[in-house]
Amino acid sequence: MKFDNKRFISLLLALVMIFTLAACGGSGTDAEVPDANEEPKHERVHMGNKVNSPAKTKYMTVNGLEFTQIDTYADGTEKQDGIPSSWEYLNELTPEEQAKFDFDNIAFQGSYCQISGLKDKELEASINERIRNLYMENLDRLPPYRGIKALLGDNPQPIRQDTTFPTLFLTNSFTHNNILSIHMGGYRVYTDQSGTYGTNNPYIYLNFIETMNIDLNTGEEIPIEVLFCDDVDGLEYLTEFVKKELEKGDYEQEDVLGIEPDLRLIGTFEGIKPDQKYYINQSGLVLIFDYETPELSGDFAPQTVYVPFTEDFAITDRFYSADENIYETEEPREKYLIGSGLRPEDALVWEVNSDYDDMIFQRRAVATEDIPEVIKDKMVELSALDYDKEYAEMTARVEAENTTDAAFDSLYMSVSNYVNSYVAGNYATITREIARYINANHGTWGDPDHRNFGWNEHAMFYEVYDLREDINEDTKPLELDDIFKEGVDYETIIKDDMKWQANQCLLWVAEEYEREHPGEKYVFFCEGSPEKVALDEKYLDELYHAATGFSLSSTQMSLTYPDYNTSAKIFEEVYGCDPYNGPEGYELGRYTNSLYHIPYIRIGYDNLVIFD
Amino acid sequence: MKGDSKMKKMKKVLSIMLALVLVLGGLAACGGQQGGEQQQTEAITLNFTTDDFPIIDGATALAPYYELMAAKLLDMEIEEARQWVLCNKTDGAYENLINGRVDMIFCSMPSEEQQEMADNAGFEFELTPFLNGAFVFFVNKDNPVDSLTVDQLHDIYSGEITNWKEVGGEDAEIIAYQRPNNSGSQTGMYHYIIPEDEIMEAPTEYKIADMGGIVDAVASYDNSEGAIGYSYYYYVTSMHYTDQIKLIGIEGIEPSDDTIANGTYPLINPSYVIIDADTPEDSPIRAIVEWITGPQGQQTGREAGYVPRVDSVEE
Repeated sequence: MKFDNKRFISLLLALVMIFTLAACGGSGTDAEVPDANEEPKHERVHMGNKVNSPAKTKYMTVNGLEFTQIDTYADGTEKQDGIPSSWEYLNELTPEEQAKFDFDNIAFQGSYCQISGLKDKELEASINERIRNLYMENLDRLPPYRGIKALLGDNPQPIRQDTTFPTLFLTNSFTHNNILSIHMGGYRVYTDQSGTYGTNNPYIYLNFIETMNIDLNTGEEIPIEVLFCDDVDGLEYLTEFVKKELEKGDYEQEDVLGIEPDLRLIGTFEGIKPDQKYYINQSGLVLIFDYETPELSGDFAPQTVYVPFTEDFAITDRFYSADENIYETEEPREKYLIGSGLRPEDALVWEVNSDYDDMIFQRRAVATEDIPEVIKDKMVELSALDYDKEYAEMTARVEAENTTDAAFDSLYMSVSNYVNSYVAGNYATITREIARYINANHGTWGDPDHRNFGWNEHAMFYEVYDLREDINEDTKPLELDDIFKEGVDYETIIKDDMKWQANQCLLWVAEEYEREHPGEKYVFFCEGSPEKVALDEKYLDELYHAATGFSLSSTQMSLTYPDYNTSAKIFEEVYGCDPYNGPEGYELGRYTNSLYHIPYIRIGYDNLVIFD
Repeated sequence: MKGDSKMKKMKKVLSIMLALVLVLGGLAACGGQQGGEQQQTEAITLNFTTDDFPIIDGATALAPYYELMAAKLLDMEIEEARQWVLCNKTDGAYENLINGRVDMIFCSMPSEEQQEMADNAGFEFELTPFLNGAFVFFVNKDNPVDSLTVDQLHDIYSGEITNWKEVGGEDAEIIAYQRPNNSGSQTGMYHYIIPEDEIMEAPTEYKIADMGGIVDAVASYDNSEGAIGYSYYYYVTSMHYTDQIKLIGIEGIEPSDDTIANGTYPLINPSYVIIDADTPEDSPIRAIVEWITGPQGQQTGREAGYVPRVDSVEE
């Protein structure tokens, strides 16, 4: 057979090349190695209803749940009768009796909650078990803070320090719109075993927070980004927010003497991760930075950043539908308008004028960033003071009293005009508070010729605007007609609630008085008035029509009056006596001042347009 | 036949040659890898348990480094290792080292007070630089000036130079932001550029309380074209501000990972691993110091987000 040398040699060379390349495939310092640390691109998690920004629903609805608090000892067993409290142990037991109990166990203060009220009992039991497990697992867990084992060793025991005992409290921080947010806070004190923590302080005070956020429809835990609308990158939103918070603090903590910001950067901040720890409260999220985010925390306590709700959040509509009730109760559930939760910006105007003799004027207007510019302009206008006119009127009051030989020799007058605003749901309320004050003296207290003139006046004004409207400088504030549905007799609703509140207050006062004075009957009104509880309708009618405006908060509307004495003045006109100086004194004054806050739940949500 | 046996002989020779080539080729090609593996194996011979691991303390700013180091030397996940190294901050770490409560610390240079404490205790520090930080200056990204000298910076902050055109820029006022006296950046300013008694008094609006604020002031669009500020490289790059500001060169050298690592950037701020100078030569503490300045220790620095020191890497 003829040997084909060329073919054989070619084959040899090919084999050498193949084998050499295979052998060299992953070798040498120049070869590229896949980066094991490179994380795959995060894919957004989707849960619940589809919601795009801006989120339309501006109110929350309370879940139909009941909560039971379970108090426990340090070993997790439920507290029971027959076992003394720590106070009883220390103050009421003899040493022999004390020896029967483990004080470290009974001195512990802790509790967790259990829910009831879901229609799905199996789901309810599962959620309760997870809540209980979260609590039990943390009874003696050492949170993995930086350096903690170097200081304390592997299995340290917390100490009691005077009256400071370990605590662990688990409760709900948010139970609305079919979301349950659980917040658990623990506190312990340990003794430094390493001798390095600080020569003057051998104790380490440790706090930690664990959370659980649950979709009550399914029992699933809710990743933080799911709380944002589908078209919003929630992780990016939070990252930018936290960066701004970091800017507020000087995180060169090694060289700043004694001043450490709340939130400190220790390593490279790479952004908020999908498993960011958080809990929810009524107006926003609270991000927790601790051992799970070591680049953003320090020492042995979690740091928190509050993120207020905006229209980019899907929290109201993600897991909730008004047409579906997952609870056993059919009773109407309380709603509240979501407040902006934003902190006020720097003052729009802040002036102190002391140019006038014996007079201080203060003028200030403060708003949050979600208040439209045109409303901010109105606020600045409302905060204005006519200094000359005010001064003339105030000094005239003083002069009217200065009629004796003992002329006033010291005088202090002030007028302040503070304008604030807040958002609740789709509505912005401007509040204007004007206070006037005079204190004039002749002589010294205790002298026979001492004379004093004191006078004050205080008034609140409210204006409400619908933020969905195209507000301009000519836009008028809303009227009561604008917040009630057509055809609703809101005057009767409001007066009926005033009557109910007054009677509740009077009954409570009467019960207390008659308990303290057995055999006596409480006289509700001044001498000569009927003793029965019923309220004069004339008083209610006058009070209702004396209102000059109203405000809308998260849970109630409030009527406003020319000054805070209006209700007492009307009372005196109708009943012929001063509620503040009658024999019942303070109690009647309290009743007259408490009638004009009307909770939405008593008005009836169906009567209002603000929850549409 | 004679021709056939010749052929057979040739095939045999060629086959043997093939085998030799394959073996030698494989060894030659893979020698680097095996050698590298051998080098890595030698470098990872340090292994500790929590019982025999030296006690470590340090500045919070260096914690990410020595936590990662501990994870590697203890062969633990970093979440566990982090719990086993102390972090009592610079003052506490120096005090602990001087008083013998810890074995090694990770900090910047000792201050005068810390050196005095050591002297009084008869303690001698042994400082080994292992990471390079840098004091940096930044201007608005639209500022055409790319570099300044230390003398120019001195004169800007003493108030002698007030317009960018004096240093090769446009005709615009220099807005020289400063930091409060108790901040690290201001301390750096006094150390690298201008003493405290020569720096000009800054108007209140130019004295920025927080580090992020000074970067923001230079980056913002309101009157920021003429602004200049300063801070530390690690903090500025950690916060990703560089899209609105630019770091300028000093004496023509731009701050970058390379120029900081190799020390060519003029304003270097090294970090040190510090031990007792009397530590025995065969102590595991010294072995760790050697590990830190070797390739694995320097790689650890990179992984933790720092800039290593080129001259500490074995060649």
